[in-house]
Amino acid sequence: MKRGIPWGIIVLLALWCLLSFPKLIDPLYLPTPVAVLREFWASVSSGLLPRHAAATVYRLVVGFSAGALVGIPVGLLMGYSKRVYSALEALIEVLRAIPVIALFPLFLIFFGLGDRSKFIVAAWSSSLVILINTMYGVQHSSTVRRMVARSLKASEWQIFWKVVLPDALPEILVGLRTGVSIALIVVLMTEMFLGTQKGIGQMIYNAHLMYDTPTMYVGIIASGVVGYGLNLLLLTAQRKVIHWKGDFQNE
Amino acid sequence: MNLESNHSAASVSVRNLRKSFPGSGDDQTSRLSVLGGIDLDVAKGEFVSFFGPNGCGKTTFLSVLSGLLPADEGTVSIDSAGQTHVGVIFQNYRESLYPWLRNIDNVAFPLELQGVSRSKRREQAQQLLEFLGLKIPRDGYPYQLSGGQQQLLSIARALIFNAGVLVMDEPFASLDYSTRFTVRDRVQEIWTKTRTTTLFVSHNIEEAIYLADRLVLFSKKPMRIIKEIPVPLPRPRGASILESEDFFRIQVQALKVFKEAMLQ
Ligand SMILES: Nc1ncnc2c1ncn2[C@@H]1O[C@H](COP(=O)(O)OP(=O)(O)OP(=O)(O)O)[C@@H](O)[C@H]1O
Ligand SMILES: [Mg+2]
Repeated sequence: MKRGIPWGIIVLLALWCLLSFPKLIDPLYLPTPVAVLREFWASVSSGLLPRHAAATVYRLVVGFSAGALVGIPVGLLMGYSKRVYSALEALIEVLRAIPVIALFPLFLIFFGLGDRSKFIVAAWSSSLVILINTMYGVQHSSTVRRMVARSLKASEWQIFWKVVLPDALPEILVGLRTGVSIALIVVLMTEMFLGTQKGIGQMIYNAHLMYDTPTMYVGIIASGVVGYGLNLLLLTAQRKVIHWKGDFQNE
Repeated sequence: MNLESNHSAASVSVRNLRKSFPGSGDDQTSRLSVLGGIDLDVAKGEFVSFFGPNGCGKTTFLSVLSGLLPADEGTVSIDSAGQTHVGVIFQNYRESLYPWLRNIDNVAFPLELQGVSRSKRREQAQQLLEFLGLKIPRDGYPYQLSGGQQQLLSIARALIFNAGVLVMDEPFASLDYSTRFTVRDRVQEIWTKTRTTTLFVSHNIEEAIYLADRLVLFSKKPMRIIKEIPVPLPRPRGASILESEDFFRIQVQALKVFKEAMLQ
């Protein structure tokens, strides 16, 4: 894959330098890249940033995995069986309409301030988009391919596992990628507001309370790096798993 | 799998086959009658082409024949010493293969469904491809193949299934003009080698006659047989046969009968 020059990032960095070095913007709001970089090394070498990042990634991975473990099977069932679909469709629509923030306090009551409620919130929000995408993938899987299998005397079970599931795989992976981004947002928010000592969200929020803007920027950038890394991981998996679509050839 | 002869080829006998679909009008009780009583006999190893107007019910007929749709009335019997499987070749080659399976595994897919081990089924598929003379990269994936190659691959898949009857629904319709000719000749070759009973739908009268032992003309829906025209041209046939007088005569006769029926 050939890469062009990432002009966007270069321009953004240049703008940052231009605004911060001559102090066009108060350093309290926008420290220089050098100050942020210094803070970054300090928090890395003290082990603070790695510890925060590890806590966030851990919550994210546990919550997201749980979300996938619920979202994929239910999505498959809803996509494949009209009966399951009509039984659950309205419920899913209602649940989807509730912003997950509205549920934070509820989860707190049930699961406490610890990691468990953070897992649940991440799992909750990611499972819903994974479910929807999976269901869509199954519903839009090729009828011709199913007919072919039927004409070859495949059992219903074989059609599901050997035809419908692989056919839905691209959509499932889209769901997973969206799900992981949503889970990251939600985990950071829980870290900010649901008392905890560790996590990138907590790091950002705390730095904000102390007007420690360099650390705040370090946290913001770290959260971006985590999100980007996870997305890259899933993108690589996607290319490996669905290389047979042949549409990554010219990218 | 006995490839060298037509041991597994089946004869087909259709009696008074009728099929209708729920009507689309306001009247809930009205039904759209598509197959209006079809009687047809096809001998073991025969190649029969079907020709009929758009939307007359050819696909419906083939679906009922291959057991993908139930009939309302009438019978289809498929008789052979061996298999009574019907292998279906769909028009849409893009969607009839499994893109996530290697080419060889697409051919071997029916064996996978039957629980044959991977090494065994690949070996059989490889043998079949060699026997048919299909030069297709076995470890590649369908998206890398041309439309014609993909269609030939689905034919090979139907053959490994031990289909007693091959049913092809406009298999060349999605192919480009020049590929049609090569694939047409490959189909003739495959049929000559395997002598599998074949029912072939085409919108191209020339192609229909070129491949057939017999041409069957269908009416508008409710679909009935207007006429059956034997095609006693020598085989193997090549492009030159299209210019022969006999070919021309058959084509003119078929089109004349067809036009008369359409005008009624
Ligand atoms: N599942 C279905 N439900 C309702 N009507 C159908 C169904 N399948 C086919 N029909 C109708 O039956 C008629 C015959 O359809 P069919 O596809 O068998 O025709 P065809 O001869 O194969 O057409 P074409 O030449 O376009 O391939 C059409 O009018 C079609 O709209
Ligand atoms: Mg049709």
